[in-house]
Amino acid sequence: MGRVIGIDLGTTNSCVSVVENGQPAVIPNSGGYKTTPSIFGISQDGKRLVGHLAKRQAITNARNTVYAAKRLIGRRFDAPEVERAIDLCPYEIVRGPNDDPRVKIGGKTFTCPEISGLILREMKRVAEEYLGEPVTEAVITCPAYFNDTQRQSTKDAGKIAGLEVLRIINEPTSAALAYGMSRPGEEQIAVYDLGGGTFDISILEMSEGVIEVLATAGNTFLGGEDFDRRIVAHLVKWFEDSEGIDLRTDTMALQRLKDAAEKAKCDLSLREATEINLPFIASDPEGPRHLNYELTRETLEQLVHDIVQGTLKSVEQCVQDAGLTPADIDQVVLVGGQTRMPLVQQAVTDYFGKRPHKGVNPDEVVALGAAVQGSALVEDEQDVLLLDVTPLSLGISTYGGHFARLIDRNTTVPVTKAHIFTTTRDDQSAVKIRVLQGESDLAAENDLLGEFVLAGIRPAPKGEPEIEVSFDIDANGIVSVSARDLATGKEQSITVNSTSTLSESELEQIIEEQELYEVQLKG
Amino acid sequence: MSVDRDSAEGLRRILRLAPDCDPTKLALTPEEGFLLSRIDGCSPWRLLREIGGMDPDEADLCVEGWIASGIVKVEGLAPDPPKRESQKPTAAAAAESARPIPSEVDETLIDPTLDLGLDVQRRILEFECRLGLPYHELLGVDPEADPKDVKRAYFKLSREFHPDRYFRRRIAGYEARLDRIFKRILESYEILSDPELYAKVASQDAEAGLEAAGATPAPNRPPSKLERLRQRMPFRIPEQLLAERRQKAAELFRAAQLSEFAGQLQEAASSIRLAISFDPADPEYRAALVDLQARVAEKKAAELLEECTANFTANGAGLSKVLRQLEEVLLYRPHDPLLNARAALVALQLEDLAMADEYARTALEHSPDVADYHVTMGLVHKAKSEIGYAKRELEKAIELAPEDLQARKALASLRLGRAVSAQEGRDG
Repeated sequence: MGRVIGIDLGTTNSCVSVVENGQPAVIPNSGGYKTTPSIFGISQDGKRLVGHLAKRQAITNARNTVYAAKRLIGRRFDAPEVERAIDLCPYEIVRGPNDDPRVKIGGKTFTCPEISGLILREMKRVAEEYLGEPVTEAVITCPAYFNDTQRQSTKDAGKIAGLEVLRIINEPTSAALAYGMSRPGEEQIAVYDLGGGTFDISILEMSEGVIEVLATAGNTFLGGEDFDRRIVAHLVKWFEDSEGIDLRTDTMALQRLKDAAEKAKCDLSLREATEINLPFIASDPEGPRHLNYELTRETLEQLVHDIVQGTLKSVEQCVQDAGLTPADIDQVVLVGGQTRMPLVQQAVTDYFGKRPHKGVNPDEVVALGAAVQGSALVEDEQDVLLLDVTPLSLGISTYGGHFARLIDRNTTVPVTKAHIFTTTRDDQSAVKIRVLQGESDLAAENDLLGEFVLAGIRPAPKGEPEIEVSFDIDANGIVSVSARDLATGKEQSITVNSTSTLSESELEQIIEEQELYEVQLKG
Repeated sequence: MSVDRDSAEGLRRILRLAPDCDPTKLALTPEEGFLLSRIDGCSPWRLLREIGGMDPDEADLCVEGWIASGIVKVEGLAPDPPKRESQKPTAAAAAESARPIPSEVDETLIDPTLDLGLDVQRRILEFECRLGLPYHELLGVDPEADPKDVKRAYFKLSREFHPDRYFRRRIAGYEARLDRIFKRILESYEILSDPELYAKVASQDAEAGLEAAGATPAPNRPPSKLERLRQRMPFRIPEQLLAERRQKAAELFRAAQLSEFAGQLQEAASSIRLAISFDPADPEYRAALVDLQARVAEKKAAELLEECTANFTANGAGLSKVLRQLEEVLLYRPHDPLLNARAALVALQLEDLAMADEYARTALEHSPDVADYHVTMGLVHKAKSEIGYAKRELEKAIELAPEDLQARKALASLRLGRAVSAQEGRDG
């Protein structure tokens, strides 16, 4: 059996790693880069491009280049995130038959798992080239807030890439695994993950290789791109004040500003000041105008100060949820490119009263952890054990439209929890058990995972029958729910099949197509 | 406390329902039904006496009866029920008899062909026998142990028994065993590391034990485990911090009132929830939250109903989607007869007869004098081939609304159907 690879399937970049001689290592691609852009495109002459090649054509052939597909995967077409993406992305997003967003480029429609699958296939290829042997199994990471559908769609992406996905693990947990393997003693660690589009904070406890998630919190609408937007807004205002031209109406200029802002932000992590130089950004009857502005670190810090402070609120909540104080945290691990910013590092240092751990690379640590988990699962000699948790609360809907939680989020799995419910009407003979996932107290706002009817309840006054509803999650995260009438012993149960945005037959069809395509390439 | 060796062994045996037995066909009292429902093919007899909800003596009687009549099988051993007179079932005895760690493992379960070392198999079987032990004994910690020690023990056992340790190995029945063991370890850890939960469980256990022993609670009882824990770990929050938190809560509550005023009920509710988390003692916040949640629910129901009606009339969505939406609305307005009747009709079309029956009944229960609901009920009866009942309901509907054509038509078709089947009967 081949080795298990770990893949950090990121919004902007992806990274693959493998455990060699007991140590996880990142696998560089043929260009020598340790990360690969999560970009897929179709060139003018109809060739499929992935990674750096696709990124290269992003500006000249923007309509046929897909980036940030992770924002769309497993979501419904009507979701606000998808609406936002439709506004921002130069490529066409259309409604699929399952109400899922699909991408139309080069005259063909692709599902989101397909796009992610193409990127995963590239990561698989990078690993195979490096290892000189076929790779068929992987552990893939996803953000802590991903729901069941998003996770299942990510698994489908793996299948499309020809990979068996052993587990999907949370990105912060993965970072902690990479950090925590082979560390002696007991430690409580905080993983502060500020990526391009999201912010996650997790508190974990580890002791001699066993890792337990104590709490997670975060904000799915806060990330490095908000920093960029602040810079762009600042530049637009400055340009308007000095030149009298509003750049907001010019999409081309805005795209250039956005790229320049991101670059300036990265520069300012190393330097005190940087120059933003955008010639011919606009023109009016008097002739072309150029934007030339020196952005200092101090100005940047003033612009984004409140965003950074905002992340600390989530941190505070998380530390409290874990039943700890900032002083109890032994190590702080930073993940995500945005944590290179000195202001972020300083804020984290001030809050915890200690400097973040220096030994990990924020771009690579998540992929390393995934490889560690993959190896821990299949190898006989195991140094690490992850006590993984269920990401969202599970329960059923009850009288009055309420959501009765049976399993709280962040509960260690495998686990079984049961609760007794009763009828709301005299002589009620049947109850419908609706299995829901989510954090809202209102049943209708959570996701419906499945439902079934328990019939044949013996006639009795309301409130008297005892119906035991039991939830079970196994080590692979598969949920089954049963309801039993304690008086008659009658029982009904379902295994909740994770729903993906793809149907079985669609998935099979895509996999077949992929295989054909592979053959064509080789032939 | 000496327990007859034979019976101790018998009590350790696992009981399983005979495969050909259908429990729904048995005439059982609710208590017996409950006890039988606990027989799951993995709980030992002794555990059934503890969790079966019956007096241990009575439970033994039931189980013996079931074994004798072949409803229940004893795993791995010829049916050899324990001698009843040898047992002194008191809570103390139950705890006492559980104390010696059973070391005899059923060697027949050890399978050298599995991808699992023989000593590991033995260890798993051995540990599985201990699952009925009190939480702290299972984890091997002192009842008064520090949370840190509890966690250490939990981690140590997890390293040994977590199912991921044997991921995808060929280990047959050991997979289910590990699953059971780990879940029980996890439960023990969760309860032991939460003083309040522990106290609750301990007091339940104590009650059950006392009831079983037929004793009344002692008036001068020693301090409970919770009280001892509280003495050992006094949690005191500084007054200044409390004041800050109360102030924060008041601010949040004001913000909630503003959101509420602006019609943003969801935001208001989440602010109040936050306020409660900052100041759990103030009853005003809770009352406000309950009130607000009811209003949010009502608003949500109205929205859902609108959407659902649109779907129904547009006929664009599938019927099952319409039913699901109706059910959601019914969660908020469970007694609305019109909604129930509508749900009944949709369920009827989907041939979900149990639910159709349920909804039609509810509609009638709340408005027994509406002809339409009797028609609905009648149609449900008809679908269930309960022709007599169907006829009665339809006649009732005609009585209530003599000019209603729908009921007459349905009744006529019912008679016609009857006539046809009678005709067929005669022909055949």
